[in-house]
Amino acid sequence: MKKVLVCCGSSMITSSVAINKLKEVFKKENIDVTFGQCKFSEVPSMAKTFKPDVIVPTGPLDEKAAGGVPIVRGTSFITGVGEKETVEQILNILKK
Amino acid sequence: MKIVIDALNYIASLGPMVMMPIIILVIGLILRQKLSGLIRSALLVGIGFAGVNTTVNFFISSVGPAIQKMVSIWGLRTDIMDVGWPARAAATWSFPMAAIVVIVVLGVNILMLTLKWTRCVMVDFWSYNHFIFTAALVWYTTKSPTLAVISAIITAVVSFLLADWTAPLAENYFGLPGVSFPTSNSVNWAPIAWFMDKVYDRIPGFRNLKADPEFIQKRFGILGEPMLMGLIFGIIIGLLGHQPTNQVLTIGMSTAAAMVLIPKMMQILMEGLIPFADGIKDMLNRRFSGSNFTIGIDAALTVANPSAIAVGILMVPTTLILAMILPGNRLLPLPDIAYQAMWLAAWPVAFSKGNIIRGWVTTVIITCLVLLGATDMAQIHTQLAIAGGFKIPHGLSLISTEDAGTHLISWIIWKIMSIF
Repeated sequence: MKKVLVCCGSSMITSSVAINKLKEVFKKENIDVTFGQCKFSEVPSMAKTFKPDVIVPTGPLDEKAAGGVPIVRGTSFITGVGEKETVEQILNILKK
Repeated sequence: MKIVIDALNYIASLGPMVMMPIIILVIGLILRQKLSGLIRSALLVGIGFAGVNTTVNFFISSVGPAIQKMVSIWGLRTDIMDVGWPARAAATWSFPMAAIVVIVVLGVNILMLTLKWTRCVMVDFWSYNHFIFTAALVWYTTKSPTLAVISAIITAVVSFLLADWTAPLAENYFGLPGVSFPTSNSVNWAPIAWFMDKVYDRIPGFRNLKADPEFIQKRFGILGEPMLMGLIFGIIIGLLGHQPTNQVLTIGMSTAAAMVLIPKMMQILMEGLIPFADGIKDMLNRRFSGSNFTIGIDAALTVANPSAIAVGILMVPTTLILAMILPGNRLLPLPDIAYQAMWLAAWPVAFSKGNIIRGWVTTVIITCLVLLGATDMAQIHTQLAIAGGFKIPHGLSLISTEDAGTHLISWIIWKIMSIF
C-alpha cells in the first residue's frame, strides 16, 4: 500500500482537485494508494506520522519541511499544463 | 421568472443538504453529464454540506459564548465572531439563486470569450461562489432578483478583466504560464497592491528595505499551524473570559477540533463537487483552448510562495492587533487568520517582486479594509448563514467572516445597488 500526501494552502480546494486526478491515475495503473490531505504548514508533522512515499504540493514546498520524502509539485493538476509529466514523476517514485 | 424563483425558494427551504444535490443533478443533466457519476457527486456534496454545517455549528456553539464572555468582561468591541470561510462559502452555495447565477455567469464568460472581450476561460467552478456572494448581498438588501443577477454579472466581468490584467504578472512572479486568476476576492486587491508599490518607489529609504522570507518561516512557522493555533487561541479566550480551568481546556480543544474537522468536511464536499466541475471544465476547454486564452483558476495557487507565506505569518499577530485597535471594526478574526493573511498578501508581494516589508505594509492596509468590510456585512452574513442551516446561539447576535471582508468588488457593487 503506497501513501501519497497531497497538500495545499487551505487543505481543502486545490489539494482535492489534485487527489481527484491522482485517484483516476492510480486506478488505471492498478496501484493501491492511501491519500493524506493537509495544509503546507502541517507537512512537517504529517511527514513524520503519515510516512508518505511521496508528497504532492499544489505549490512550492520547502524541502526541509518534507524531511527527506520526495516532492513532486502538483501545480499542473490545477493549471492543466504538464499533467502527464507530473504523473510520470509520481509513478516513477511509487513504482520503485 | 417568478415560477423559477418560487421553485428555487421551495427547494432552498429544504436546507442546503437537500438543495445542493438537487441543483447539481439538474445542472449536470442540462450539461448532459453521466448520471451515475452525477448521483455520486450530488450525494457527496449534500453530505459535505451536512458535515460543514455540523462542524461549524459545533465551533459556534462551543466557542461563541466564550467569546461573548471575554468581550463583555474586557469591554472589547470585537463581538462579531468569525465563523470561518467554509461557513461563508457553504452559506453562499445555499443561496437559492446560486444555480441561476452559475448558469448566467457561465453564459457571460462564453459570450465574452467569443467576442474576444476577455482571454480568461474560467474553469474554476468553485470560485463561482464569489459571484454568487455579490448576488446574495444585493438580494438581501434590495429583494430584487434582477439586481442580484446583474450584480453577479458585474462582479464576474470585473474579475475576468482583472484576471487578464494580472495574467502577465502571474506568469512572471508566480511562475504559472497560461493561467490567470479570476477569483474575485483575491484579484480585486490587485489594483491597490499595484498602486501601493508605485507609492513605495517614491519614498526614499523605505523603498530600499528588504527582509528574508526563509528566516521568518523558520522562526515563526508555527504560527501557521492551525491545530496548535486553535488550541492556543481557545485557551486564551477561555482565560480572558475568566472561565474555570475545565472550561478553558474544553474551549481550547473545541477550537483546535474545529480547525481540523471543518477542513475534513470541506474535503468531502469537494470530492463530490470536483467531478461535476470537471464536466464544466471539459466543456469550456473543448471550445476555448490554445495560446489565445488563459485558464482561469483558483487564486489559492497565488498563496504558496515563500514571501506570501512569510507575510502571512507576520500578519497573524498584526491582524489581531488591528482587529483590537481599528476604529469601526467589530470582527474577531480567529479561524482563518493565517490563511486569509497569505491570501491577501499574494498580490502585494507579487507587485513588489517578493519584498516582504512592502508586502506586509500593503497587506496591513488591505486587512483594515477587510475588517471594516466584514463588520459592515455582518447583518446580511448572519441572515445568509442562518438560511444556510447555521445556528446562532442565544447571546450571539451577529457572525461574519474575514473571508466576506475580502470581497471588495462585491461590497462596492452592493453599496451601489443599495441606492436603488
